[in-house]
Amino acid sequence: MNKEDLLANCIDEVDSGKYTLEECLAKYPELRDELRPLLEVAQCLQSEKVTPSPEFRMRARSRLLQEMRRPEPALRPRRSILDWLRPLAPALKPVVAVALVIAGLSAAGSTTIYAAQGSLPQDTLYPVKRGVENLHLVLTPDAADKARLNSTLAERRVEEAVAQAKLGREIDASALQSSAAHIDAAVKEIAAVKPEKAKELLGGLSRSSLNQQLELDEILPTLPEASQKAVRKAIETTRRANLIAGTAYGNPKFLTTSPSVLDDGIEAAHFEVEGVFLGDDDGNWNIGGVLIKNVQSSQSAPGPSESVRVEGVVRGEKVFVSEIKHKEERKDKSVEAAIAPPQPTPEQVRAVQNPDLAVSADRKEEEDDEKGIEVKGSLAGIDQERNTISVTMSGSKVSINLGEASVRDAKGNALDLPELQALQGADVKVTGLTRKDGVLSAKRVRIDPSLRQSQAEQQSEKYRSTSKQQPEEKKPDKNDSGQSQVKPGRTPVPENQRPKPTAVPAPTPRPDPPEERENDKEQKQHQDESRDD
Amino acid sequence: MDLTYQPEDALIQRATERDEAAFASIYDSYVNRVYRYVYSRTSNQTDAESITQDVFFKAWKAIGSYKRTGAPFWAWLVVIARNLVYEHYRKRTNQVPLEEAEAFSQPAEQGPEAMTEAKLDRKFVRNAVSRLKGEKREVIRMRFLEGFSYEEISKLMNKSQGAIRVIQYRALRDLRTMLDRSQC
Repeated sequence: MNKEDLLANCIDEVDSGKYTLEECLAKYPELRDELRPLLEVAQCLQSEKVTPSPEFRMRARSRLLQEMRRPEPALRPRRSILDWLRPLAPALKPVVAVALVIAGLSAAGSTTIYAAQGSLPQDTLYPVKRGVENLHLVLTPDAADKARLNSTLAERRVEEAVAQAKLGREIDASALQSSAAHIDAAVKEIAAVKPEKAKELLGGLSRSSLNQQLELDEILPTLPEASQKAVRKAIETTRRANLIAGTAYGNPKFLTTSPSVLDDGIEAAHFEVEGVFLGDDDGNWNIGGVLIKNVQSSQSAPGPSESVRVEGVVRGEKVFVSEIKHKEERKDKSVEAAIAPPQPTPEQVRAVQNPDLAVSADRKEEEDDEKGIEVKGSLAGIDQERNTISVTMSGSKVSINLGEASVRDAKGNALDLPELQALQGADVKVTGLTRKDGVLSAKRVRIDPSLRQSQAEQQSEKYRSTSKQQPEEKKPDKNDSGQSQVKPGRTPVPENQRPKPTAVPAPTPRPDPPEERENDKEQKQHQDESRDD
Repeated sequence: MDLTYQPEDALIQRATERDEAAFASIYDSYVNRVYRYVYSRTSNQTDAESITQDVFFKAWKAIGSYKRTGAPFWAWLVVIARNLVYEHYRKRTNQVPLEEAEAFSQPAEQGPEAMTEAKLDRKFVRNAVSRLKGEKREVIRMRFLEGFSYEEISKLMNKSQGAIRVIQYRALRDLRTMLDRSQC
């Protein structure tokens, strides 16, 4: 018998109690020095010889018998794999080859498949696990089911990375990156289903992306430098997935553009514009002087002179509006009508493009924070006992603990929990989201019940003191070459072409009380964001 | 009908045909092993009992679909148990449960020679296992964490039992080397 067999026998004999370690070693004196350290390690690995109590065994057995005797609910006849395949035969010819290859991989039968389920990247059986997943995908005909499965597989890749991190293993970058392909595939499938079902799937994808973002964010600080890059990339992917899901949720037409989480520019193409809605010219919206061309919206255009916040994504020549939030109606509508500028002519309108636009102190404060996880939505509920709020985003509800959060309204006034009761339905932005022990906590919560105190208004106040000119037309910034200056990330466009919409909030006409209108300073309606030199 | 001494294959076959007595015999054969597996992952008696019971409930519901293709029945039960432990952690913490990193429970009362083993810190050993590569880690995982026999492991990994023992030997040697270095 060789030493490997002797070791195995000793391990079993010591484990069963047949011999002690010394007794076992005494049988093989020539191998004592070699086997002793290995047996010591094996003993350390042996799990405790726990056995269930006789009472538990009897109790569980009795319950099992009751369970077995319970009548079964009527089940649909179980379909065999042939029943699945028969109607698909013509379409499946190319698939059959793949299936045969995968069947070959699992030539050991379902035994190997069973054992492979818990494997992680770099494990011997991991390719079998992935092969089975691919086969499952191929054999799932329904688009909605396929979307769900792809979403699950994306989650699984992240879970594997988390498990690797917690085991102190190096993250397998390629396995983690494949989550992006699954998300893109899920989005593609969702585009093929009916709108109501699509919304449900998008809500699930949004939720799942946020969850993945939180899990990856949690392990990131614990990882060595070599693994951090892959995880950071995966976090970006989940952020984009959330953006895509949220945008498509608000505007299903967005899915026709085949958005991808691999598109580096998609986040830069996201914008929010606030202002008074000045007009809809055949699909071109004017919001506070900002022209948004080729609007694709599933909601109807706002009414004239309505104060709104519009959010969306630019794709090619089109702008996909995903959300329109209306400001609360002002009590004195005549004031608004009086201060609203006349409808500008197309020649007068210029898109405002000023990357140096000063942002509100609020936003700057947030930007100064490390780029953390963010959730935007509506305030759905408050639980005073648990000190949590619920936020609805893309049809999903997220519960967030406010323990250490700074909760303020858009003006920066602190809000406490009882005050939030009256603000349900208000616009919410949560930043610095983290998760510990299953509890989501936020660093900062901003609630804007009416969008009244918009960021644009704060900007107007800031510029009012420096600007002496009355706003007339807004002109784009020009750089030295005479071209319109564009927001970072966008290519300059010739002067004679309409610039693309910007992600800069538009100034809003300040609701000057009538008695202040005579004051020249107070009459500055629009922030002068760009000037000619 | 006394099923006590029926070979396991026959018992399993009858169980797949929804024979309650056969399945009850299977329960008797496997309950300790399932409990030990679950306990090693939860370190909590109440949770282990609850999950163990659920394993057999689920196994009974799914027994009709168990295919006797040479897969060890224990492997099938391990998959069910593993998934239930997974769900258990997910419900509690909304996080992915750890595989090899589950706490090893404290050693039962052992003789004097076992005291010498106390010098081997379980935490070190556990971490060292996670650093093994490929087949070595899998053999250690299946043998010591999941309680598979050599015969079962050989079927799962499609290798001879002799080969499994060789891998085990090398894995234990590597572990020992890692542990000796870390304790220097």
